[in-house]
Amino acid sequence: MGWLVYLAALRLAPLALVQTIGASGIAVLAVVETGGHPERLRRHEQLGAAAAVAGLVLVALSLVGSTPTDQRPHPIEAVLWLGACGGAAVLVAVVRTRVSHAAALGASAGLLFAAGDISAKLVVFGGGWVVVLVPLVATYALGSIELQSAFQHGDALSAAGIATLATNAVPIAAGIVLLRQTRPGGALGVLELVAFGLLVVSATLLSRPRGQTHG
Amino acid sequence: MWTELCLCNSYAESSRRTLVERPAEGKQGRRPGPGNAPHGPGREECATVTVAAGLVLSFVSALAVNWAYSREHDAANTLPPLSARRRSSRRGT
Repeated sequence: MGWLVYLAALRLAPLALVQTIGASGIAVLAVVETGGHPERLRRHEQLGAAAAVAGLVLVALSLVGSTPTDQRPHPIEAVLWLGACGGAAVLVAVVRTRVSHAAALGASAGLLFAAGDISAKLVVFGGGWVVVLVPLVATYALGSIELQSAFQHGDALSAAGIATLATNAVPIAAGIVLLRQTRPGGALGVLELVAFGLLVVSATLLSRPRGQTHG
Repeated sequence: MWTELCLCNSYAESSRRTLVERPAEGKQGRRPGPGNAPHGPGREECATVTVAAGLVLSFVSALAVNWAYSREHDAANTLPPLSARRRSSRRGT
C-alpha cells in the first residue's frame, strides 16, 4: 500500500523531491514512537530527527515561487544509470577492501534499491518505459537478499546506515542529473541542496537494522 | 480529488510537451488552438498543486512504509531466531 502511494507520488512530483521527503518519514515516526518526547531518543537519533525537521523546512523554503519538474531522459542514459548502479552494486559486493564485508554488502543493497527507485520513476512515465518494470523487480528483489546477507555478516548498524545513505542519495542525484529536474537558482538552489543533504544524513542516522532492539 | 490531480497532471504534461516540441516546429510558429495547451498563470498553478500533492503523498507513503517496517521489526523481535538447525532439532523432539 505504502509503495503504491510512493508510485503515485512519483507520478506527480520529481524523483529527487519525493526521495527527500520520503527520507524524513523515519524521523517523524521515530518522534511519534516516543509519544511526543524526542528527548527519549538516543543522541544520534535526536540529531537525525533535528536534521530531518531542518531539511523539511529548507525544502519548503526552496520551493517558494518555483515548480520543479522532471524531464523524460534519453533511454540510453537511463540504461547507463541503471547499469552503473547494478555494476557498482556487484563490484562493492565482490571486491574485498578494508571496509567490512557487511558494510560493503549494505552499500551494494543500497545501490540496488536506488536502481529500483529510479526504475519506479521511469515506469510511471508510462508508454514504452513500462519495460523498466523488469529491472525494477529484479533490483528490489536482489537488494532485499543483499541486505539480509549484510545483516548476517554482522555489523548490521553500519550495513543499514550505508544502505539507507545509498538508497536516498543516488536517486536524488539521478533526479537532478538524469531527469534534469528544474531547480531554483541562487540562494534557493543552495537551500535545496542543503536540504537534500540534511535529509539523507537524517535517514542514515536513524536507520535501524532488522533484529536490533530499539531504545 | 484524484481525478482532478490526474487531469491537472496530464494538463501540465501536455503543456510541457508543447514547450519542448515548439522549437522543432521551425519558424512558422504555432497558433493556440484546441489541440494546444494554453500557457499562463493557470498552468503554473496547476503544476504547483500537482507537485504539492505529490510531496504530500510522498510523506504519507514514507510514514506508512516506516510504520509497517516498525511493526514488522517489533513482531520479529518476539520470535525465536530462525535457523535450519533449530528447526531440525524441534522435529527431532
